[in-house]
Amino acid sequence: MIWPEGYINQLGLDAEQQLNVDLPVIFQRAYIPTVAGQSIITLPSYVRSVLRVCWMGKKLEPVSWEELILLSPATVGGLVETSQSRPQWYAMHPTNPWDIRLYPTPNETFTPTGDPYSPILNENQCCISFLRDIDSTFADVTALLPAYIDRRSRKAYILWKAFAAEGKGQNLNASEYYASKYNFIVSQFKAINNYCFLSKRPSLGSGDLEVDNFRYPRPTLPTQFERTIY
Amino acid sequence: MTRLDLQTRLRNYFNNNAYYSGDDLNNSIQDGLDEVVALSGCVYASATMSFTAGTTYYDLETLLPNFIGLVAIFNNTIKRWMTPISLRKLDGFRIDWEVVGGTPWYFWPVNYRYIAIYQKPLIGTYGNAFVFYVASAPNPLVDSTTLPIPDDHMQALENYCIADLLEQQQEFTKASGAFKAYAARLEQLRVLMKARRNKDRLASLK
Repeated sequence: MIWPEGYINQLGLDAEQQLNVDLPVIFQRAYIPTVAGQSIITLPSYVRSVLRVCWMGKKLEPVSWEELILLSPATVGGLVETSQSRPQWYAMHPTNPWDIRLYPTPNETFTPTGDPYSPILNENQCCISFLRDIDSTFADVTALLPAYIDRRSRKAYILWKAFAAEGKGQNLNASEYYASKYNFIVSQFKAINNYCFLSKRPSLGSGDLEVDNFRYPRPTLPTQFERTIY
Repeated sequence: MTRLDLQTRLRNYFNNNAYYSGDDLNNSIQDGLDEVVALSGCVYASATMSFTAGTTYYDLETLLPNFIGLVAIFNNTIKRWMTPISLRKLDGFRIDWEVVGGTPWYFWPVNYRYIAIYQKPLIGTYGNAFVFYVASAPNPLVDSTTLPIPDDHMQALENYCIADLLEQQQEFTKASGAFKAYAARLEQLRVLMKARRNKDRLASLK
């Protein structure tokens, strides 16, 4: 055997991490527990990006941490809680990457139960839609890449790195070959699933009303505008 | 062209008939067909999907085991095509669109697995929809199976198999050439499959 099994397993995990970065497309929904009086919710570490947060079936507006400070000047993580009510906004925590803060602070305690893919009217749940990492344990089939991509991309990545490693198995020609295969597979998958990569944009809002979206009008004028050619 | 025909072509290419076993060739053909069909979208299928009371998100990869990507949905209860829509527009309809019950008119393709519908039926006997989708290749193949790729683009699959078999023998320089040929032929096949949906626009693509 050229490479020890432990090294191949290590490269297998590396491949998975690289695919998490290159193909953030695994969508899931989950009910998350909330406690009345606690505005900070810590999401599971496999969450890569939050697409949507719903409180009792209604979407909460995403705001930046700075905007949340404007809404509630005493925004300081979960150290100072605001008045309790039905949450209307949420923001990602600036330093704790898996924390989100709801505002106003929730006034109800919810325990996850039921099917988050079939939400019901006024349900007593806080539901998040998110893109997540690949399930390393392979236990959750909905958290894996499709079969026609997963095995091929992992294999190409492992061989790319293994052939590049110093030692008796080094073959830079082979490494380059598998690198091109890996990049080919990833780019092809992006091409056939373009819509996956659009799903993050709509969660940012309508795009029309925010102050940052204003720009001076720049009409395209005719080339002879305000000139007289004799 | 059947699997046996392609196997014969590969044996002719490699000249030494004993170098690769029949299993080697068949495994490579199966692997290649799975990839070419998935990446080019050259196999279409349709199925009937029952609407479930209260369900907003449907896991098509579980409901349709050979599902690759969605093409269209026809609501068979109201006899109308459903309209694809984005999350942004659904959020524009109303902030609680996920829980609203009613007639399904829209669908949002979430990713390679899920779709969401708006509105969702709240009764179990609402009816069903016809789902049209890009499907995966037949698996397993047998010698007499007709490969579901147009014959004039079969070289995409042939080049895949050549690259795959050469890399098994660590002939990476040769494999690299075959792989580049495969990628180019695959792109041509994908363009063909996209153009076929709009036959009357073929001329404008030139």
